[in-house]
Amino acid sequence: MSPNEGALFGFALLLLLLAGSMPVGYVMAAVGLVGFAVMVSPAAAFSMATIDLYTTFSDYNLTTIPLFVLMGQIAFHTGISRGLFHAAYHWMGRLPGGLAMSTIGACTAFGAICGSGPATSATIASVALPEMRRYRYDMQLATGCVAAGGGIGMLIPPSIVFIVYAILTEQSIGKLFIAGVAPGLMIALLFWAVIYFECKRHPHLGPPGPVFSWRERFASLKGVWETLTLFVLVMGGMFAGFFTATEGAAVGAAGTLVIALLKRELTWRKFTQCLNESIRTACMVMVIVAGAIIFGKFLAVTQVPSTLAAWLSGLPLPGWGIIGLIMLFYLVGGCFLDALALDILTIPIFYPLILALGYDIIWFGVMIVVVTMMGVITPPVGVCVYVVAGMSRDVPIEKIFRGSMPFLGALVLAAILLILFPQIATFLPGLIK
Amino acid sequence: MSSPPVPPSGPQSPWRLYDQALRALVMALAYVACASLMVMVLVTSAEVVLRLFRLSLTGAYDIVKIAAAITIAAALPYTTAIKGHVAIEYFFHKLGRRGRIVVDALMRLAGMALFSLLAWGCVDYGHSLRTRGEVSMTLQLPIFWVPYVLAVSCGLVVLIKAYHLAHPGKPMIKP
Repeated sequence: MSPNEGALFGFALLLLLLAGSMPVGYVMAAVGLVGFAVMVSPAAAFSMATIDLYTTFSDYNLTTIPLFVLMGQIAFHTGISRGLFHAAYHWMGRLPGGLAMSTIGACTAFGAICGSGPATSATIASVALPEMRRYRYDMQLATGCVAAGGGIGMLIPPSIVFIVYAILTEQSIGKLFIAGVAPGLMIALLFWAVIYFECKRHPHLGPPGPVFSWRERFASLKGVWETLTLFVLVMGGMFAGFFTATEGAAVGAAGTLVIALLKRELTWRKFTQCLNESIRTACMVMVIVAGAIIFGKFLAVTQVPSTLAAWLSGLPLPGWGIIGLIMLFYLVGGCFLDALALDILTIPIFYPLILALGYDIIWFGVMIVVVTMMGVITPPVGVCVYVVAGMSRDVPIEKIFRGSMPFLGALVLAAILLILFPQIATFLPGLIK
Repeated sequence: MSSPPVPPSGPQSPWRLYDQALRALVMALAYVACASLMVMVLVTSAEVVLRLFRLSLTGAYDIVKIAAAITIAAALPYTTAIKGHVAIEYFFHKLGRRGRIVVDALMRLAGMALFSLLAWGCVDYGHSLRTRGEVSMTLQLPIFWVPYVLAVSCGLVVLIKAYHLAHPGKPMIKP
């Protein structure tokens, strides 16, 4: 079989198995194994798949994933999110759409201790949705903003997508983390603008809440200290070069645990729930990563990444046009595939092209996360929307997707700004050695 | 940790005993995964704290690498049993009932074949590590047993897939 025929066969099998609802990680591993067996030899494929599975599971850099997941889970189960929302509400609640803006603020802050978009949506939804319902907010806006806001958790460090991207492209996790800060804050500002102008035009969508005194506002900041301490401890330690990403993740998990114990919020039952959910999420992500690595070996044999890179770079388009095409691909692909799986599957394909075009790999990582944020709120496979739908069962899922659309517009604007001004993402990483 | 569902009392059929034993094994491995995760947290944090006092924890890197492999390997049957892996179900749900049953069965059989191969491969790999006397970098701990644990987990995934094949649409363990 020629490399091209092999690649076509592989992609056809991949799509068939994905459409058949086989788990994404299994699909990539199975197609990689079969494809490699056909292209090279069954014995080589068998050995490659086994060793890749073992080495992925025992990869020291990838240990950051279960550790950061545990940190987010403990924060989720011990009410840290409540303090964040409470503080944001005291400062912004009086504005039109103030509660929705507080929700975005809380999502941004919670993103600083949680690396997963769906987990951020779930956490903040549990505190923000009852409040917005109480103040008669339009539920389309309320649910849409929680779903979209959750995505900010993927951009503000720590971020699981950044960790996986760093491993696949051999980049510094620390640099990617710091590169996400400014774009994450920019997107939070854009989301605030969306809410503010929507609620200014249609005041019934988000009526202003009560006005709090300055004393009350400053008092509410007490709920932020845990998050701030953890963020400064983990990110500060990493950027100061005191510890590695894995060590930062472990210190973050241990620190969250200590804070939860000090607050007397952690029961044995909650602790076991945190561990349970952490091993499940970590295993799910690691199986996808292992599957993608096995699939990547097959792709390398077929030479698809280099052929595609050569073809795309030969198109009569400027560099930004090709980047735009790639982003369009992610936007459409993200509608049908799980966002993280799509990233893992395609990064090895587009990475050589980005290198050939001379773009900054850290900047491209940020772009990938921004389009992933679009993928988690676009129908039919918008995982953050499904999470929010699961927590507000009386709101039809179509309504939540509609509520997310203005935020999708803001994300498209953010992507354009990042293409026009890549310094938004590259300025901060440029400051660290 | 959530307990496996308790079946109604009465005479125990061999199949029920088999189901119970399988669930117990999956949950036991999940406990191992949770314990390994805590080992990773404690060992890595201890290393950072000791560094403040210019001390070091010899072999922390080795322990964390082994604990990471055990965490994920031991969590694999549990994640499969609760149907915790990400799958694209959009197109699948567009099929009719009969189509869904057929496709679901085919996908599970394909999954069983994949994990049977991986289980076999892990035994083979563990055997080669044992024969070569491979040890960890600092503590010189034998590591051949780690692929064996992965092999057991892959074998359990095959059995869980068979359970799901016999009980379509039902997770083996409720999360």
